[in-house]
Amino acid sequence: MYVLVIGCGRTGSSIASLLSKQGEDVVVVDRNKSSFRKLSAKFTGFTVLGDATEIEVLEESKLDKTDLVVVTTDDDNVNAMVAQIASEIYEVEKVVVRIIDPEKKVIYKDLDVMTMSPTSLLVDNLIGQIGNWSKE
Amino acid sequence: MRYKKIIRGRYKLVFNYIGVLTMGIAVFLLLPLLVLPFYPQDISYLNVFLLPSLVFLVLGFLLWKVTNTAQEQVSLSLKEGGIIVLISWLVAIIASAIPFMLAGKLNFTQAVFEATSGWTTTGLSVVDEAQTSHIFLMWRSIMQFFGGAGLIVVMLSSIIHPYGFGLYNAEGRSDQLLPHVKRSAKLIMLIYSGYTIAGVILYYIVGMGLFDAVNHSIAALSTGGFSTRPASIGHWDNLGIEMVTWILMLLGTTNFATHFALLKGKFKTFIKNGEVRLLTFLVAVFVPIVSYFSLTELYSSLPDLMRRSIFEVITAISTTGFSLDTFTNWNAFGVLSIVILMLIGGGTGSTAGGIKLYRIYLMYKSLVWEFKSYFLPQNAVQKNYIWRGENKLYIKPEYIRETANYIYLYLITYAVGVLIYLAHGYDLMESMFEFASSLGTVGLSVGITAADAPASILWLETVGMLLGRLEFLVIFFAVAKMVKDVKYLATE
Amino acid sequence: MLNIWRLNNKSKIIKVKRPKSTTDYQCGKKIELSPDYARVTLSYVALYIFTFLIGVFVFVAAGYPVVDAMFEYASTLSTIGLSVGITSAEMPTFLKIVQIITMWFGRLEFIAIIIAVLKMTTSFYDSDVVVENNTHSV
Repeated sequence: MYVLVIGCGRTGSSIASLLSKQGEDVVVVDRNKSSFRKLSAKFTGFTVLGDATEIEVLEESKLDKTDLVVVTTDDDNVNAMVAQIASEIYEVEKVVVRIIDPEKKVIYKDLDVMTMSPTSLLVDNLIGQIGNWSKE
Repeated sequence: MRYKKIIRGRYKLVFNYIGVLTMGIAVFLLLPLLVLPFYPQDISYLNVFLLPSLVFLVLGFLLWKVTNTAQEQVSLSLKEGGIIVLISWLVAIIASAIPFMLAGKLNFTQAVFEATSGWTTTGLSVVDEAQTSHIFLMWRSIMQFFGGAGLIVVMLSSIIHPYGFGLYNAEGRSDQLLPHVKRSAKLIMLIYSGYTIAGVILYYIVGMGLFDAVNHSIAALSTGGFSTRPASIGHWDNLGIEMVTWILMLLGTTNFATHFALLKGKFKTFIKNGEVRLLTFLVAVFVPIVSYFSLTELYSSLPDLMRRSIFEVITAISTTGFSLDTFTNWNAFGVLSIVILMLIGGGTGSTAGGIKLYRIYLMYKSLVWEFKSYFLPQNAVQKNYIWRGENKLYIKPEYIRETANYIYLYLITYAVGVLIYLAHGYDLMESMFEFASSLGTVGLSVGITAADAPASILWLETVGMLLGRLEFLVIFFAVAKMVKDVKYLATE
Repeated sequence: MLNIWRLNNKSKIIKVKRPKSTTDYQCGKKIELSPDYARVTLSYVALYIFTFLIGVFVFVAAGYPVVDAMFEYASTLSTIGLSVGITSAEMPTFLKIVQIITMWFGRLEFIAIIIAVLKMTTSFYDSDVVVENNTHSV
């Protein structure tokens, strides 16, 4: 499987490293060269230096041939834009987006994109846990 | 103390890899036995391959078992990769030299020379092909096959697991084709083996025997140049065979990443590639001038003349080392041209040697950029790039400096080597030719390299071939790091 | 030389030398060497070697032995004046011209000449080119 990871922060780098260790073809895009240091020893894929909102960078990282795009930059607007480009223009089969502000989820309402929000996950988990306690 | 413990841990990992590689080398030693069903008279040599294979299998297994406790998952740095590459190459050369010695064909110096010439895909030889049995001819080709791709690439594509890029990059074949090291290595082996099989078929069609076809296809694609006949390709005197050899040599000297682009049908990126352009340019320039200034005295008909000059120019620039005829009757112009071509060498990330087209191209480009910058306004920003594989590569000044340093190191080593030849009393032209051939892992010879050459010359060439194949810096890094670490561990 | 002090793991103080910066002395003045400066020098050396090779090829093509050609051309290019006998009144006119140009290049250090020639052949006021370059260089 050919996986493109946009944004090499804590989330992006660990996803990329784990997938590469499993033997997938992984390409990571980030605009800071120093971000690539977060990638672990198991990572043996490509790194592309550049701004993911530029079409040349996305072309260079072969977005059109990608099976899965994981968008994890630290900016919700960039995430939304890249996710739209990936699923609408390049028709990538699976697009996963990390949402920082849960209110932004409405952007993806009409898109064929899977969204994940750390905040919502935390809240759901916590509420569920509290629900379990109150039952006891 | 903690630092010492870390160093020991890392060396355990390094030796763990070396153990695995040693076992792999032991398996390679068994491969020439595959010719036995076809040539049963060679059965008497069974033991000379079986014995070293067993010894190295046991050694490798012990090394691997002893160091297997180090299961820390750390990434190997380029220097540590360099140590693994250097030691495993030395092990491979020594292991490969043993069958020659056990069979009583060569002494230690000659056997090590022959093995180094094989593994570094040079093709200089001290054996007499006419007197050598098939199993040893096959063994020489097998060394060239694996040496051409690189020990590490072969192993990465099959058994060992990569941690980081250090190991992959240390062997001087650093272009990655796919976004996963292991898959890249597999793809390289696939392309390489595919071409080899295609080469065998082509040779067979144009009229070569099967055994010769297999050996020559391997030797041409690995840009090695060991032949099964004393007169090399000239033995057949057949234009068809020569043309197949041109194609295979040119394929062998092309970067695997460029092959990948070509095989995917991307002709545009193929044409844009600097190495391909420079290669075409050099062949187009040198074929006519060598023909005109040098070969008009030797050949009377134009087709004969062109045949010879095209073949020899391609064999020199691709660092293969097949030859049609002797160079001893060439005049100075022709010999000097061949020397320059041998120094330039083939493409990076291919099986060729030499300074590499890519570095020469980069230096040429940097000169052009330099001149351009004099005409630009003071604050203009130049974005200098060249095409590499399928992508634009932006060039930083540090990168140009590294390349230039490499070229200087190469030329200094070359000058020192030539001086050593001269000290032995050889002619300047001969010395320049022979050492350019060794350092660039080419394999052409004007007659100095033979079984009766002085041992010191053979050892000089052995070192030259190894330096040329592993690209200097890796060896220096590796040795410097080992010395430093051993010194540190030795204190108290 | 500035020294940095560092505690090593055995709590013994050892002295660590600061790595030497890339400086060199020229005309008694200390100058910092930027990679750019190194690049200019390297281009010069590359150009020099390249010219040398071409020159030797010309001599060899004219039929002189390689050792003589290398000797004579190195002598000319570095404006030395030693000779093994190639340079003489009987030498072909073509080679004399090559020698003249070479001495000139060797003395004036290539780049000045090449820039001058390029500048003259293009034009004195390349205002269009400059503007175009400015728009590109963002």
